[in-house]
Amino acid sequence: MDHVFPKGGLYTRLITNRFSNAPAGDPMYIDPTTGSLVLQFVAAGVLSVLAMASRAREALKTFFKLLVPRRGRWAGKP
Amino acid sequence: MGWQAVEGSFRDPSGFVYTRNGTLYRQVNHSFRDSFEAFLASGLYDELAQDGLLVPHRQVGLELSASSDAYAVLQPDRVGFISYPYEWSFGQLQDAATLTLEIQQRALARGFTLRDSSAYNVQFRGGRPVFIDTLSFEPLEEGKPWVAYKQFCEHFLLPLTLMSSRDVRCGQLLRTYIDGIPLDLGSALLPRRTWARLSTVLHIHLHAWALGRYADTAAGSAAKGRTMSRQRLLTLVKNLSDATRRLSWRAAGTEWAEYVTDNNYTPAASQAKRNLVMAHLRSANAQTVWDLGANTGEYSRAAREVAPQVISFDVDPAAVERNYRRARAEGETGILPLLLDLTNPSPAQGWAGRERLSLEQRGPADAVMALALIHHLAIGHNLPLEYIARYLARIGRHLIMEFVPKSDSQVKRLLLSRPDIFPGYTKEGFEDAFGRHYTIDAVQRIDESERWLYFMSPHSRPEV
Repeated sequence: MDHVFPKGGLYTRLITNRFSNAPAGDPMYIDPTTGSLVLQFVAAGVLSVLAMASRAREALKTFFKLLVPRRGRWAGKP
Repeated sequence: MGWQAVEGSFRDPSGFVYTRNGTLYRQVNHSFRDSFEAFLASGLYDELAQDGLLVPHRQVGLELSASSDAYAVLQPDRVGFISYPYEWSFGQLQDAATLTLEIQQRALARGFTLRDSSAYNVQFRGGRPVFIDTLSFEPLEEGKPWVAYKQFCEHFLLPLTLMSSRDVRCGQLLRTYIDGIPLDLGSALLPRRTWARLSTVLHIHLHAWALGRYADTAAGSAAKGRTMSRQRLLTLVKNLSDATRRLSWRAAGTEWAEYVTDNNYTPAASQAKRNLVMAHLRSANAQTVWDLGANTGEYSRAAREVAPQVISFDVDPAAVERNYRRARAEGETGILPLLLDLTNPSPAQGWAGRERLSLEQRGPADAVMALALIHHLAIGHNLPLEYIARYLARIGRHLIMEFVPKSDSQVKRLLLSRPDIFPGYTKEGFEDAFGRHYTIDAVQRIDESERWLYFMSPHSRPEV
């Protein structure tokens, strides 16, 4: 797609603005509502903790698999 | 003035959609300039358009703008037939939800976010959902939550959960609640077993509770000091995506979903009917066909061999779902299955009754097919034949209609449990009623059946 918009410069400025929390573009036009925002923080927190726990569990499983030889190998099975 | 606003797009202050001389345009207002430039420069637009997730556009001159605050004017590719979430089957709504989350995930990866997640931002094009709102993207402000989270839950997750866990007909609540089904209502309607599912508990039940709990609290004080990392946002969106994909509905068991395998046509009669339909569509040079009472789309597929766009309507959610799954599985691009109760067709609604178009406003079709439908309307729903003729004459430039006489086993079945109060339901009565609104161009008896096929043109041509 060809666009006549100048590229470069502005994007960098916007990216910089993100870190300074400066508003960009139109203000939000839909109401996220307070309860929904609070719930979103809670939900994201719970899900992140669960995701971390899941990753830790997988890591532990892998670790123990490496540590403990499989029964099949002891029995000489393939 | 020379332009006409598309009424469904006025809520967003960053721009709006309008037509000028029949061409569709989207104006980007000056207030949205920075976000829009950043969106294009980031490469996100190109990525989404190339992958068929976002409708592509080309930029045109400002002389085509609709108002003085225009910063840019875009000419998006046309979608074809506009459909609404309350006309979609379970699978269609699910695919639209998945598309929205896929776009949000890709946007987050590039430092952007969707600033709304309305189901009306999605349309079906070439058999697949496509995002149509180019102005929905804004740079992500690090630490900020997703403002469209609640909207996603109300427009997609809750309706799908209700359809999957309670009853598929709950999808029709979207017709009443065009801004999304209220979470408290949905939470109350869902069965208790949904409390055992973490995603439903978080995104629907506790979400509904939180809305009430913080109804009188300012957002600033409640969220004070809290920030949401991009990783957490991605985790949230991924969970929504997993929850959406996990929902399922088995499209079977309803009366009409089995009709294709449970009717009284012999293979020869079926083939004869198919040949007649295709011949009439060819003679009408139909580009758009509306197949009313399409069931799982057998004759829609015949029509598709002649016309590039066929809208395949049926009242039965299971039939529409099967039709959609087949179209999707076989990569059929010209068939759009939609849910429609013809006795109560989609009305014009929303603000001032103009935000969402009625079925009639989205027509007329070049040809309307109403095969094996008349007896359901006239006998099943007590609609006078002339009322049926009058309405159909407004929505199509040609009509292919099958008359099913009382001697037919399907009509006998309808009259099993009620007295026959339809003395006018005869071939002569049918021709008299339809003759008041149509010129009957041809009438043929379908081989090996008692049914008749009519090809008609309305006396006064319906306007676009």
